[in-house]
Amino acid sequence: MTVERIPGGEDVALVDLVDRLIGGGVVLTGDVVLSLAGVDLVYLGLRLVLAPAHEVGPVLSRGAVR
Amino acid sequence: MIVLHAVVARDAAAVAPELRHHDAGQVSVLYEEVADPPGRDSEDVVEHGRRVVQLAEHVPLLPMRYGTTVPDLERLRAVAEERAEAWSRRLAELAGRCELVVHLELSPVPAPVAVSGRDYLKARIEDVRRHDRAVDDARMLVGRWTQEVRLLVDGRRLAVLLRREDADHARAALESWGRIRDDLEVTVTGPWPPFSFCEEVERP
Repeated sequence: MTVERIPGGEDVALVDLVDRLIGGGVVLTGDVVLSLAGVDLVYLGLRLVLAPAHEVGPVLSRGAVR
Repeated sequence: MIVLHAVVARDAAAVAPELRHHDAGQVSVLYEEVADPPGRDSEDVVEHGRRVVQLAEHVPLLPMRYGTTVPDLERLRAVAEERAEAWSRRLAELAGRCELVVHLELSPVPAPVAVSGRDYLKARIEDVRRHDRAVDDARMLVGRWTQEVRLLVDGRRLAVLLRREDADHARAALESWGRIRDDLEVTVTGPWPPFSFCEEVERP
């Protein structure tokens, strides 16, 4: 289960990885968790380039998700 | 500040010697103490993700959502004690499972040069139906291997939970299906830790 051996385009895989790290996983609720507002912006940027999967590579290579 | 990485079975905490762990019930929470909050660039998230993916190669785990932090050990203890039983239960359910993400991208249908509002709406409805049929077809195709399938929030991707040993079979079936569909592009990524199947933990 390594990122490096994922077929189907590493760029798409990396976007999925970031998307799932931010949009999935265990979510703690309540006041003990500090939110990271800036990450939401990364998430939004990634979601914008996610739509046409075949175009993700060129977008990432231009650094548009930073 | 404490950054939470993942929840693993209590006897599996040694798999990540570079991380600290807090034991609660039958689980351990893997964490690290840091001076600054987790980074906000995509590279920071990817680096964290690679570590989580590597851990998941060795032990079943529940990944924490990126950026999950607690202020101190006292709060970590409180959080872990409150949720240890639910985490343990979900860990057992997900043991040996992984996640594939399936992108379904339909070729756009060219719009007529001049259309009425009614025709436009009919075309939009047909687009939605085409997409729904593609989703249903993908669900049926991988149904024999999957425990759960979820449509992700963008509506264009499916998260598929399945046994790790079935991942290659499911991927091959999906990619083969994509090759014979000239109106559909299918891209599969993973296997990932079960990122999309952890939220039950917080349900009462």
